[in-house]
Amino acid sequence: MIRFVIRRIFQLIPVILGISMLTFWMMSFVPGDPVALMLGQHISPQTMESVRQELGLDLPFLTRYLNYLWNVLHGDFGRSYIQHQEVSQMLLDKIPVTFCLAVVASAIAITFGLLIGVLSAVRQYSFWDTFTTFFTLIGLSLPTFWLGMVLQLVFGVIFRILPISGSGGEGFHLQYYILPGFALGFASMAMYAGLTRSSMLEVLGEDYIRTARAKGLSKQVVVFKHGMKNALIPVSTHAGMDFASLMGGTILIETIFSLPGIGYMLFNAISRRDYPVVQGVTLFLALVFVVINLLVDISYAFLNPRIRYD
Amino acid sequence: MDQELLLRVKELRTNFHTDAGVIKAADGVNLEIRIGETLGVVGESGSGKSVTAMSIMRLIPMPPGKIVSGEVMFDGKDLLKASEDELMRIRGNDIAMIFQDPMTSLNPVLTVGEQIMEAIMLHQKAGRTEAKKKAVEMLKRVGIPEAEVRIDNYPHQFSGGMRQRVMIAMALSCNPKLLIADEPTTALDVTIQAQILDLMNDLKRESGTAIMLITHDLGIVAELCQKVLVMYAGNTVEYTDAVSLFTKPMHPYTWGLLGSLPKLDVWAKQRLEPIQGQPPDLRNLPQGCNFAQRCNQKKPICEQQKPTWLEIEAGHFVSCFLYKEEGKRHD
Repeated sequence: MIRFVIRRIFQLIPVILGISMLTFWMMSFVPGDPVALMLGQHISPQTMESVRQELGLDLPFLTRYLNYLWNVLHGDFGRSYIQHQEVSQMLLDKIPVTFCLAVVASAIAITFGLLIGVLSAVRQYSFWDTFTTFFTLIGLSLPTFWLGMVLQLVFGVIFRILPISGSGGEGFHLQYYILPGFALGFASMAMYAGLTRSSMLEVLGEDYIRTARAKGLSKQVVVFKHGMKNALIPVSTHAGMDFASLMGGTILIETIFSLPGIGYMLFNAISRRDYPVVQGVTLFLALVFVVINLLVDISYAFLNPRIRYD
Repeated sequence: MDQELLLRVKELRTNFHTDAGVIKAADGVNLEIRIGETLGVVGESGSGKSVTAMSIMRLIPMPPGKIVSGEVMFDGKDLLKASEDELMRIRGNDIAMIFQDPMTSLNPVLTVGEQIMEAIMLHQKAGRTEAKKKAVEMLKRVGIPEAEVRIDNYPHQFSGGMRQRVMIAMALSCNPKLLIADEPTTALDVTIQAQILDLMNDLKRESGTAIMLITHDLGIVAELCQKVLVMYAGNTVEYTDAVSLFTKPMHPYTWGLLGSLPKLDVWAKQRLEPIQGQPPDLRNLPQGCNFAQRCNQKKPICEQQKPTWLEIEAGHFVSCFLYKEEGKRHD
């Protein structure tokens, strides 16, 4: 097991390198000059040139990339062109907000998704099942930003029961995360419901379910003890990746709800060509993806005793 | 009712509703099992053996299945009229079941110990420690070496034969009055088959559990069973003791079955005689006897009416127009 983990960690290195290189390369192709955006239009070419030199933007692509990599390896993600703050410090400030949002969204999605999925599998072809299948389809098709704005309108403006923007300042204030969490997690919830339903239906048809019933166990024990653990194996794979997607998918929601997380930060950085911030956020998100992927693989061993990593 | 009688099934009918029509999987099943007796149920695939077993346990998935009519008297109680709560007390406790494929019949994510203990804790109201002790004891009885260690293993860590032993340990852990074994050796290789059958026979002798052994192997029937039930296309066609079945079979289908068996004492030149034709489509059964199309003793009445289940000789039941109630063959 430990050898497996170490091997997997080593395999992460080329992945991270590849991602950093791709973003670096793509950003250099995006039209728009960061220096012009930073200083405004009425600046002499000499000043622009000197700023460009100062930022190292005049160097060839490969040199810039290698410099960046060298710095990153020393924990230096650079400074924002706009805010003039350390990118690493900016990340540390914003990550908790995004993380909380993704956790709330995941919690909503998993709790309701599993519940809906299990119930519709147990009552296959019932009215409830048909209703949830329809609901799943709707959930997967609704654009996140539209749902976010409708929620703001209904719960924030009409009923005035939940705040519609900001994070409530220092610390974690759950009420600020409910609407964005719901908007962000809604599609995931629909997906969990569908996935759990099909996985559970497959499991409920297995021979060992018949064995469990032949033992005289109640339907609840059969479904939740014998069915659930098996049905959750494919769902759990998805849960990990979905969490990572939610972290990365916060851009729209954070922008709509003015939540000061990394998504909002990335949105602003891209529009102002703030390369170091874009790099930092992308690298961080890539890291989240690969680490969660690894955690999912490790968690398999606990969920499914047939898997052993030797 | 016979004091010794443990289970009596009368005119059981179970249908499955599919898009292609109604499948009459069990279409008038009659059988009896006495205390401590082994009944062999034989018949080809699709003859309704497993459906009968699942109907007795009321484990037919509904929908698409439905038990339409009949009576299943077990220990003086009609299981078809029993509530789900009553059934839960009977399943695993009074009637236990083992299945054909030991590779898929155990839950892959629970230890075998957990799976055995579960039934003990449920039916015998035992605590975990007590149940675990009993489970180890059961594993030892079915011949699992190092039972104390193996109890914490998962099913995938056992071979097929060992898993079937685990299934048997699980089924017998609550001392059931009846064990329904649905082709318990079909998925195992021949040497393991013999071991499992010996084990079942030994345990039966020790505990006095009655067994309903579903099989399509007449050799197993000859070796283990006191009574035999022959099924064809959802019907029970003949029921008698094992000796009579082999010495004095009465139903033309049983003749066909016995005729298609290889024999050691007849030299290899003689070819086996298969029964001509195919079993009828269960969605579209004939008006008369289900076997009529393939029967070489067919009479006009066979294609018009269903034969009734008659006791031709004491304890020898046949469903065929060749016989009248008095036990005479009428030509």
